[in-house]
Amino acid sequence: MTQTETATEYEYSQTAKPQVFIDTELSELRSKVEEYHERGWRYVNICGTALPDGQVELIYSFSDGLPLENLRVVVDTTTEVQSISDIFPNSFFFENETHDLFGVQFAGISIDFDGEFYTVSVPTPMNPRSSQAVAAVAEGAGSVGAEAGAEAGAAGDTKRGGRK
Amino acid sequence: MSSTIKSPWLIHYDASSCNGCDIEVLACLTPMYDVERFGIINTGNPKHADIFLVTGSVNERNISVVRQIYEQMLEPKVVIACGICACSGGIFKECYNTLGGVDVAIPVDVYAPGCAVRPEAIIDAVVCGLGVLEEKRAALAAGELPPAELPELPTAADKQLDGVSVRDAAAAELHAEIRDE
Amino acid sequence: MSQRTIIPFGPQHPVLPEPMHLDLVIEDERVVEAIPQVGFIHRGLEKLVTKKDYTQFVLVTERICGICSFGHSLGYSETVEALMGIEVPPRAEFLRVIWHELSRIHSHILWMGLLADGFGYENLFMQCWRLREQVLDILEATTGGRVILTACNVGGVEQDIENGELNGICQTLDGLRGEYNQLLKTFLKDKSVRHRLVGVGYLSEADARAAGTVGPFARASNIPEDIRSLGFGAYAALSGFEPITSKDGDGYARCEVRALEVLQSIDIIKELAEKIPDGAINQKVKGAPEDGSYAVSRLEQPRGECFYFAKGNGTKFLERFRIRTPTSQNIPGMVQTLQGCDLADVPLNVLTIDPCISCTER
Repeated sequence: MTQTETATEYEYSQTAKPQVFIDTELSELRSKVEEYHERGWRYVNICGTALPDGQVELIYSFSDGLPLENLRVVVDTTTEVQSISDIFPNSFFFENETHDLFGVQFAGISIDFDGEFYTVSVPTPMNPRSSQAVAAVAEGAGSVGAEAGAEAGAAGDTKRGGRK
Repeated sequence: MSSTIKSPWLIHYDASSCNGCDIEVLACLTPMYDVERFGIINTGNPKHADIFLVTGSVNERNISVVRQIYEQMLEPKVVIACGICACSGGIFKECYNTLGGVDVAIPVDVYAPGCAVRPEAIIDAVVCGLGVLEEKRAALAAGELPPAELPELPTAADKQLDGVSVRDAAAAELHAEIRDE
Repeated sequence: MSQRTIIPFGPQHPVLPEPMHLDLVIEDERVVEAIPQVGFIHRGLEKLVTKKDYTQFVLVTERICGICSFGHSLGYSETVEALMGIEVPPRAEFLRVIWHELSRIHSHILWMGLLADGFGYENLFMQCWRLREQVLDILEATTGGRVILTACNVGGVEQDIENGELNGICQTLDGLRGEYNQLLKTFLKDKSVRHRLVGVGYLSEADARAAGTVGPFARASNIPEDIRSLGFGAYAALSGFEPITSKDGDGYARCEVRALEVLQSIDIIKELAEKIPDGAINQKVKGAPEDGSYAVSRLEQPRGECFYFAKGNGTKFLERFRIRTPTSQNIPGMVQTLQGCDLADVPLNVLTIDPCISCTER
């Protein structure tokens, strides 16, 4: 399901859990979120997923009782994403988390922990190919780079079969 | 035998446990298992405590908290690692933010494994810890107790998994990928 | 004009079984602002999904939280079933809900005990925890575990409860109800308890909606939202389900909502034990989630609505699994109740949302 029109016509059955995913552009995101707020929907979740190229897929979920809709946005870790914590105040929690774990840059979070939300010493552990992680590796490249070839095999288990 | 082990006070801290062991520790204090019959009282103040019960593995942020509580306790003191996460990291050993068992932060005297650790195992570990406490007390009285030494402070980046540190593994993977392209 | 001071609260605090840090800005004895800090339990277990395949990962989800342990394995299994289009046998659906409601009873009684401990009623704390052991005995008899059950898996449940055993459980619960009613009288009628709870941590309905609270915290502020009323799984078989709400929005209301939910859960278990169909308890699961498939799922945990998200990539390992737990939704509401309250009421206010930090940080 990719269009808003079809999503609102989606028949919510009482036995199946609603699965509505709507592809959205970053520029439209805020207006869509405001629309949910005006309709009286409730903010549910922000979820990041690391994509193979270091980009992050963000899924914003909103609910109104049984109906549940998810906006899908793909963002770069170098572009700034406008925070929605001024519309839905409790989104600050996961915006901070997504910044720390995935390297997504949020602008204007109501309570901004500025990277100190979780203490993690490996930058952006959930998204090892984010721009911050690449920069951190480039900085320490001298010491690690030489052994990289030998260790790549041992570290190969983190490479995943599903990526084509 | 001294009065210390007749009524040891314990302090409990949840390092990064899943709560399973925490509620079992609390269950020990309540009527069904009732460790209070050994004179044990749960206290919130490290300075009053003789036994330090830690549940869960340590991570980057709470390692300093665990060490601080340990340092605030007065000698003689006993540390009990409750649950497999506190013993070795358990099911979370492979997680990026888990440094390992409690023994990477402070010296541990008694290990009580289990997931979640059973109340019987906790009682057994506490009673076992009382023996250690008595030994330490005697050594302290004789002036032979060496000062407690804290292990070197590790960081998540140095954490070893299969002989490779987490940071090196991440860097190596990234380098290999950049080279492939 | 009095001076402002910052008092640190936690991570190690006698009233908190779990570590959480609050910076309390106080003026005289009054809290003006509270700034939460988390991360003491962050393990990063969502990333383990790349190391454990989807049938193994259910064991990890059980260990997200020891109190809502069964709920998390249930939520995970339902999400993966939605991802792969697996139909669960009806008997398994019923058994899942029975265990889930048993977990709710033990979680709520546990919380009531902690609350009693929080306001200094040691005797009541001990009584609650004594009563809770009866539920743990049922869980141990049916699954083998006291807190970590390992009863749910993708496609169904691990073991059956015989119909005769179900009758026994109902009888135990009847006995428990009798003893629980006495406790309930103390919690809801006792003067000293009321004195400590009424009016503490008030949150209006409008504020609760704006802060996006969920679960008993929201229901105590008169928001009748409960995922169970949507009728997923075996909840559809119930003759009727009405969320328990209260209009007062204070600490007493939160205690009342949870206290009455225990009785409601006993009724649900008894009704389901009567209606449970015979048949298989497990559906064989083969294959792997498709590449690029998404699924979301929601579940009413003891602490409120829990949201699960999964993404498949064509292999046995999920691309991403995500849990949004009730406490992370409730923390902004909790911070709001803390503003303007007395310093001595802070521990109670924190307790009344029933925080589960290890769920929140995973």
